[in-house]
Parts: sequence; C-alpha cells; structure tokens
Amino acid sequence: MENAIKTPKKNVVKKSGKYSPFQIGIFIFLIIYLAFIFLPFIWGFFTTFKDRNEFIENLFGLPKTWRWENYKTVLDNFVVVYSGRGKILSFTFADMMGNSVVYAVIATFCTTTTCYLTAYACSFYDYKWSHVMEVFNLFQMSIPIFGALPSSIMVYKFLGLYENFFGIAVIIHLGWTGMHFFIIEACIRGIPKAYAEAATIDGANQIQLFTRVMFPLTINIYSTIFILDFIGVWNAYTTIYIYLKSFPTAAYGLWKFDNDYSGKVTGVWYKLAAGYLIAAPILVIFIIFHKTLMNGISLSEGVKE
Amino acid sequence: MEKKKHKFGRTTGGLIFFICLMIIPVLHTIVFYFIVNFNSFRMAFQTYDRVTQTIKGFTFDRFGEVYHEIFGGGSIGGNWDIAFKNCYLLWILGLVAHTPVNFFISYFLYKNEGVGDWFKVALFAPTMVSSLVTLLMFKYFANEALPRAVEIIFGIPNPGGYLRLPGYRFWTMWIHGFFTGFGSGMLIYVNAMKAISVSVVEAAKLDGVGFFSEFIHITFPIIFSTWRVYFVLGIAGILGNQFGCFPLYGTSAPPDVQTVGYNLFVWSSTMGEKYYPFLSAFGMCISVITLIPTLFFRWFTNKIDPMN
Repeated sequence: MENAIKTPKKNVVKKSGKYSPFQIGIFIFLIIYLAFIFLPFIWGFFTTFKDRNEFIENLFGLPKTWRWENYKTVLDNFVVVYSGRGKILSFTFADMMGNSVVYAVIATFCTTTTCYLTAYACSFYDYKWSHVMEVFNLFQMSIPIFGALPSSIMVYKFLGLYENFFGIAVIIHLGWTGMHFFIIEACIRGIPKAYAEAATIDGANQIQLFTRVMFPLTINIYSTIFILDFIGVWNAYTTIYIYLKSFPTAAYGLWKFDNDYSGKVTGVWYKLAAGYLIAAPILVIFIIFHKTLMNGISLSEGVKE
Repeated sequence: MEKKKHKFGRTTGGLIFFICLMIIPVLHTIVFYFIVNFNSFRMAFQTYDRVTQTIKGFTFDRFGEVYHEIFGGGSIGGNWDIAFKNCYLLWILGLVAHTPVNFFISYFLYKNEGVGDWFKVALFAPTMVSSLVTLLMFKYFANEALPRAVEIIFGIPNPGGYLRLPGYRFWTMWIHGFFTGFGSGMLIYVNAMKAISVSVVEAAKLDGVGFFSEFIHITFPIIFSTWRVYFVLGIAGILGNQFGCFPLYGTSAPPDVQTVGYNLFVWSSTMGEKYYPFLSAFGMCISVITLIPTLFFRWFTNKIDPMN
C-alpha cells in the first residue's frame, strides 16, 4: 500500500542542470540568431570609419584608420530641404535632432496621457460607456479598414492640421486606442480597491483620488508605456513624410538621406554613420530603461514588480 | 477572467469626472475614426470633377476601375497578382515558420531564467532601434558584405547584391523580417508564461511531464488567448503588410517584392486628389476581402480556446 502511493523523489523546484536535446537545439539556434542580428550592426559600425578605397579593399576587417571625420561630414552635409507654401527651408542634422526631441516629447506625452486617462476611466468607473469603449477598441484593432489614408489627408487639410506642427504633434496624438489601452487597464484593475475605498472614506474627491492614490500606484505602467511610445514616435517617419514635411525629424531625414544619390555624400559609410547617429539616443534609452521595459508588461496583469 | 470594476462612479462627482475624462477620447474617435472612415466610404462612390477640381456625385464606376485595375491589367500599373501572392505567402510563412519558432524561443527563455534574461535583452534590443535603421544596416550588409563573404567561404559567385536581384531579394527581405520580428511578441509570450501557476507546473513534473510535453499540454493552452490576439490581428493585417518595401526602396520598390499594402500606401501618399475616389474604393474592396476571414477566425479561435 505504501509503495502504491509513494511519489517519485523529484525536486521540482531546483533545476537539475541537465538540458534536453530540444533545449540545446534552441540554444544553438539563438546563438546563430544573435549572430545574424548583430553582424550587420557590427560590420556597419566598422564601415562608418572607412573611405571608398578601404571599403573596396578591406570590406570585412577593422578600419586601418579610424576616420571619425566621417561623422563630422555627415553632420555637416546631412541636410533636408523643404519647399512648399511659398518658402524654402533647409534643415541640418542638428535641426532635425532638435525637431525629433520636441516632436517626440510632445506627441508621446499626448498619446500616453490620453490612453492612460481613458483606460483609467474605463477600468475604474462602472458605467456601460466604459464597456462600449473597450469593445470599440477591440473592434477597431481587429476589423481591418484599408484605403482611409486619402480621406484622412483630406480631413486633416479641412481642419487645418495638415503641415501644422500643433495639429500633428498634439491633436493627432490624442488617440487612445491600441494594445497599450488594454495593458494599462489590466494594471489598474490589479490595484486593490481598498486603497480607493480608504481614500474615499477620508473624504477624497475624484481628482484627489486620482492624483494622490491611483496615479502614484500606477506610475510604473505610465512610465513604461511612455518610454515605449517615445521610442515609437522617435522612430516613426511616415507620419512626417505624409503630414509634416515642413518639420523634418531625424528619422525622416535619414530616409531622405539614404534615398538621395545626388548630394555631396553618397558613400555607404556616410549613410551608415547617419543611421548610427540616429539610433544612438534610442540605444542609450534602452540601456538605461531596459529592465523597466522588459520586466513584465502583460495583457493579463499589467506591469509586474 | 472576472472583471474587477471599482464602483466609485455612482456619485455626481464621479460622473462629472468620468465625463471630463471621456470628452477628448470620444471627440478624437468621432473625428479621426468615424468621420475619416465615413468620408472614405463616401468618396468610393464619387468622381473627381476636373473642371471644378472637387470630388462629388454618386457612381459605382470606381469599383469597376478597381476590378479593371486588379484583373484587367489596369492603367495605374500595380502588379496585383504578385502583390496579392506576396501578401498571402508572407502570412503563411509567418504562421508556419515564425510562430512556432517564436513559441519555442519564448518557452526556452521562460524555462531558463538566468540565461533567458540576457537573451531577452539581446532579442528585444533590435526592435527598439528604428526599423529604418536596421533595414539600412541590413541593406548594405546584404548588398555588399554578405555576397562577398559567401563567395569567399563557399565559392558561390557574387550575384551583385542580394537585395538588387529579382531571384534573391524577396527571400532576403523575408529572412531579415523573420529574424527581427521576434522582439515584442516574444516579450508578451514570456510574460504570459510567467503568469502560469507554479503549482500547476510542479504537479505536472510530479506526473513525469518533460520539457516538450509541458509546453504542449500546459503552457500553450494557457497562453492560447494571448496567441489568439496576435493570430486574429495577423489575419486582419494580411493585405496591409508593406514588407519593409518603403524604407528599403522608397516609392520605387521592384514588382517582385511589392505587396497590396505597400502599393496602396505609395499611391495614397503620392497621387493627387483626382485618384482619391479610386483609392477609397480600392481600400473598401480590400477591407471586405479581409473582413470575412478575420471574423471567421475570431469566432473559430474562440471556439477552440482550451481555456473556454
């Protein structure tokens, strides 16, 4: 009888240290995968320090001479010209980086705050309208609508938002829909309601309840979504390409620069250098905030500790 | 999952605060979703008047133009048979190749936390950098360095750049998309797996479940709802996939890599107002083609969800 109910002696918490062939196979695949991802970056980085002759003769090796002046050449010649509305404007790399910072900060603040407040309202207040908003978000994410770009250009022009910095950076970015809405909702629903009850008993009004209790408890998810949105807005160039060419950002400038074969600097090494200059701020942000970004965004539980 | 809602709104103050929070999102949705899409729908039935330079009238002619464009050789010049084929091929490849690999990588990272954390950072980092930058690096690597390396190592003659030649560029672009597409989805799957109760896993191990069996019988059923979201969104986006053509080729992508989404985007952003009614009708047709399978698979995956 005792043998029949005896359980096998397995330590299910402690890892045995042995890996199955399947795990070993995935590990090898991951090594190959990382090599594939990082090789172009590493090769590109070394190439940015070469000139035409060395690019041809020493395609794979380390640069014999580290030509840091290539980056200066890019900074001096990375220029985007906008001609429209009766004016011709010229933007240098520094101008476009400044535009990127201003545009990304303002647009990110607008989009993250609107999404957060909408998710807060829908998850915190028990009205039928909250459910309508949730269903609508799911609907517009999963029901495809194509061909609305011409219509949106017409509507933007009609409202005076086209080629208007305030219109594109602020008004357009007051949208709230998308996956981030559900992530924020999940996080706010995870907050025990005892906190809000206690604050209400102490006489807090709705604004105090939000600013002194709920927002401080959920500032982690706001920060995480803010960083993700910032990276997305910084990297986005199609919005500028379609709606705001008169305010070129660094990402848009890089696209123009890469497709320009008539300018002073057309070498591969210059274009790669321009790419690294634009990627650098995002890599710095990722290095600083990678734990915040990666340690638990979930559709089921919001931000985890 | 049972929804938890705090019932704090049943006061006048709560209602006023709720309304204040809802004003901007509701207005934004009305203007930039409903009005824009209604205007697009209306334009699909209109004509561009060259004399008054306005869009007006009511006609079904635009849909005839769409049919002629797709099946009749068209006058604008889209390679629609290739574009549609590319869209569906990319989706099938994503389903058959990318999704299983994504699952197993996520599962591996979930089961091996110490090693997994480092891999997670390394896998996620490329998605942080602009796709434009990663494609820029890859473009010159694939056109200059990789062909020379293959020639030196394997003796295969340099074809002149893997993104320049018709026989190579589609698969070169796909391989790049395959490897760079893991980031955010992997993160979501890993975190969904971490939500699995430890006691469930322990009980399974006591029953002798192995690494692979645990994935099939425990992990996948529990993360099925997460996968379902991506699957349905993937169906909805089949024809909208631009395949990275715009950052690589601008407005001049070669025919063999064009997709429906890319063509629609380029035409919408470069052609003038006189083509807007046609483009709106085109978009409406594409939306209808995509809507039916999206709704079907949404229903179907809900039916087969192991947790229901």
